[in-house]
Parts: sequence; C-alpha cells; structure tokens
Amino acid sequence: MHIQELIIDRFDKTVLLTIMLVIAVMIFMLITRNESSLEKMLNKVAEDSRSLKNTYVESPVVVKHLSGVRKLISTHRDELAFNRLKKLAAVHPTSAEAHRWLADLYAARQKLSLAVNEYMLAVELNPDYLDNHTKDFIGKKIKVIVNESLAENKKKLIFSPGDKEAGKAVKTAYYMLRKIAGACE
Amino acid sequence: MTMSSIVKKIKTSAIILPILCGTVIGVFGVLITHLGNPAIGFCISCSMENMAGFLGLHGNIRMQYMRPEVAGFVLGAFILSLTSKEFKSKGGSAAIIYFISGIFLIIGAAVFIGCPIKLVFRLAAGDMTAIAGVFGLIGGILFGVAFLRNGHYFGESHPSGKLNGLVVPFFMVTLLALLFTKPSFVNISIKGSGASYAPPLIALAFGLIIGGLSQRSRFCVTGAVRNFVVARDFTLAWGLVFMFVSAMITSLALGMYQFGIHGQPSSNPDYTWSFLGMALVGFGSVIIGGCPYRQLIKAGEGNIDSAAAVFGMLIGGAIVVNWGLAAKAAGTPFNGKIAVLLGFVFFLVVGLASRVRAKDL
Repeated sequence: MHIQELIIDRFDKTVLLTIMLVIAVMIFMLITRNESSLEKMLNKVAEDSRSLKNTYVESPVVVKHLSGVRKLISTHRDELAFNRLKKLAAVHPTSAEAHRWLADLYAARQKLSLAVNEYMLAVELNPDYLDNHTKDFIGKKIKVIVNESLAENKKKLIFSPGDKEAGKAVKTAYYMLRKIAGACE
Repeated sequence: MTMSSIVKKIKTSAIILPILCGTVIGVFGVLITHLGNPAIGFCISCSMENMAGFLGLHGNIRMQYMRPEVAGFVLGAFILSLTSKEFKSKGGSAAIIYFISGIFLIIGAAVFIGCPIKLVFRLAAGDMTAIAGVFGLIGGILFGVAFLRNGHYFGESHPSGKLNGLVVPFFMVTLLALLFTKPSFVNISIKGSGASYAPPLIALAFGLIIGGLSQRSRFCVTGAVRNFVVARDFTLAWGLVFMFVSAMITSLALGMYQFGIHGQPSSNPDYTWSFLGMALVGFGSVIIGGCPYRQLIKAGEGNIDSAAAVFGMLIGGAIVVNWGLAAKAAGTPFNGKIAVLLGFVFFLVVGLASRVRAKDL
C-alpha cells in the first residue's frame, strides 16, 4: 500500500505532523540531555550504590571507623569525632551510616541545612532509614529536622529573597518531605 | 414532587449504580490505606508493579506483593457477569495492540505516579499536585475523542471459545492461591511499600464488592469524561463525583487529609511530566476503550482484548521497575520521559492506522 493511499484528509496529515513533532522532541531531548544539579547528584549516588542492589550492607572498614568515632563522642571529644566523620564520608561516599552520623552531628550543632543534605545522601544509599518496617527507621527524627531547616531557610528568604543557598536548602527540604511521605516505589 | 417520587426516580434511574459504585470505591479506597495499604487509595499501576515483583519479574525487594483487591476486581466482575449472563468470551480485534497499550498505560501512570483511580484519590486527599494530572487526563481524553470522531475503530469483536475469556479470572485465582500458600518461588516484601498491606481477606472482600459493582455500573474514570464529551452523558461522571466526595469525607474522618503541594505522598514535582504521563493514560485509554481499572473489569467479563491489556499492564509493571521509568520524589527520570513520548508515538500510529475512512466504507 502506498503512503498516498493512507493520507486522505486533514486529520491524517495533522496526526502525521504530530508524530513527527514528538519524534523530533525525543531526538532533541536525547541530544541535549539536561539534568538539574539535584538530579545529577542523586543519579551519581544511585550509580555509586548500584552495586549494593536492594539490601544495604555497611562496609566492615566503615563500621570499624564508626566505632572509633562513637568512642570519641562518648568521651565528649566531639570536634575530633566530627572531623573524623567528615573525612570518613569523603573517603567512603557510599557509606550511608557515615552520612547519617554526620547529619546527626550537624543537627546537634544546629547546622540544619547541612544536616538535611547529609540525610538526603544517607536515605538515597539506605532507604531503610525512611521505612518504618525496618529497625533502621529514623523517619520521624529526619522529618523534624527537615521541617526546622525549611522554616529557618524560608525565614532567610523573607529577609533576602536572592539568597541562593537558602533557596537550594528549601528545595532540598521539600524533596525530603516528598521522600518521607513515600510513594509506591 | 414528593420525596417518594424522587426516591422512585433515583431507584429507576441509570445513575444509581455508578453513584453507588463511586461511593463504595471512594470509601473502601481510603479505608484500605487506613488498614495498611500504601497511601492512598487503590492504584492499578502500583499494584501491577507489586504483582510483577511478586512473580519475580523484577528484583526490587521493596515492591513485591500480590494485591488481593486487584484479583477481587476481576473476580467480582467475573462472578457478577456470570450471574447476569453477561459473561461473553469475545475479542481478538486487536489483541497485540491491547497488550502493548497495557504496557504504555502503566508507563504513563508510573510517570504521573498513579492510575486515573489514584488520581482521584490523591486529589480527594488534598494533594494539589494531582491537578496537573487532572488536566493531563482530560487533555489526553479529548485527544483520543478526536480520533473516535474521525473514525478510530479496531473492528468488530468476535465470539471466542469460553476458555479464552476464563484465562484472566483463572490467572487471578492462581495468584490468590500463591499469595495464601506462599510457595518459595513467589516474592513478598518485608520492607518498603510492598510490605504495606491491609489484611488480605479484607482487601479481597473490598475488591470483590467493587469489581461486582463496577461490572454492573460500567464505572470507568476515563469513560466518564469521554461519555460526557462525546455524548453529554453524565451517568458515569456522577460516579466519579461521588467517588471524589466520599474519598474526601473518609480521608477527613480518618485524619488522612493533607491539603497542599508539599510533602504529599506519591507526588511528582515535574508538573509538565505529570501532565504528559496522565495525558498518555487518557489518550491510550480512549484508544483501547477503558482505563487500566476498566481493562481489569472487562477482562473479568471475558473480553480477550482487555485480557491482553491486563497481561501488558503486568509486563509494563516489570518494565517500569527494571528500567527505572517511574517518577520519584526527585522528579521524572530521563528514560521515563522518553518512554512517555514513545507511548504517544505508539498511540498516534495506532490511531492513524485503525481509522475507518470514507473510502473504507
């Protein structure tokens, strides 16, 4: 059958044009693939943690380091513990526990935006933190800190609407609230 | 007009069944979430993803469960259609097209994060991000209606051997048997949304009642809008209105109502892709004559094309999870966007190819 036999009215032509338009958009998207900074970061974390599959297991090396950090905290050497954790999270970026501990310390120091950023990385690596079916669940605690960070940064934006850091922190807080609310994923 | 004449008119009116069906879906949907299902209401696309995981078609350990209410929808429709002698094993006009359509319906729904039924539940629970989906669904349906008005027709359904129509009901009975006997080869999540479920027997009972009512009333979300647009027929739309109102009242009564756009469960922050995902579902549903939920009901009535769509939806559930197409709290993944556009191309080509033109008559 020749194509001329198929195209017999305006509707056919309109639909064909729409098909070509959608394909053109697809090609354009494939060529100029553009991700937001948040997407990029989350994709990076997801790629890094892909080897972990579905069940998160902390590496024994990190566990050993964390036990050292715990000792430091119990003897009130918080500054040293904090520096160790920062280093640990940098050296082992796929360690959920390192990010979570760092987040806890940031929260204790009232550096809420930084705490939320670390919680975000932690829950990407180990979703059990937001899963109330698991023993790792700390969703309620995270939600309190996220809400505090949101309120703090919203206040900052009222006084200086151009504050990019605060704007980014608000976006991250909203993202975390959606994460905490959950989905069918 | 006296009260008794109003009651008599309602009783004899065709709208009573859609109203009853919509109300029951609204109440049961919120109740089932209150009893343990993930927020909020029924969702055919999420259920298909869970069921694909249950059968081992994907490996996400957080999304593996057999939702008994889905089996209930099919079996409720099956039982009612048998008793009313409406069970007819027929179809075959475009089974493969229905199968692939089922895949794309689930992809569109996964990008929106919910099927049309869940869209109503999200809105009724105060999730204002779902409004993008409402516009998308209506836009998609209008697009599909343009095809109907311009001669889209798959051809006549043909009667088939009874056995063909029994496949999906039998498949659902098998899945229920697997759920209750839990053999080692099925997967049931112990964490994540797959581990959130209402007591199975209650969920099954809800599904059976809703499936039966839907079979009698022909309830369908996209069908309600389509009928109104095409024929100014508001019968099914009444069901939709009552579903929304009853779900909202039940959400308020159970303290599950949360008005706003932030921190909503199952919400996609990409409103454009929410719109497009649901537009794909609306468009595709008109092309194949029913939303994902309606395909389940029709499969229960013996429709072979819808049976193909149901199996397509199951495979769609596996594809969505395996290829990471579903939207998440961070937004719509790139692959999901491309898949939605591919879906549009597919339905446009199908719509174009299945037109009955003046020269064909």
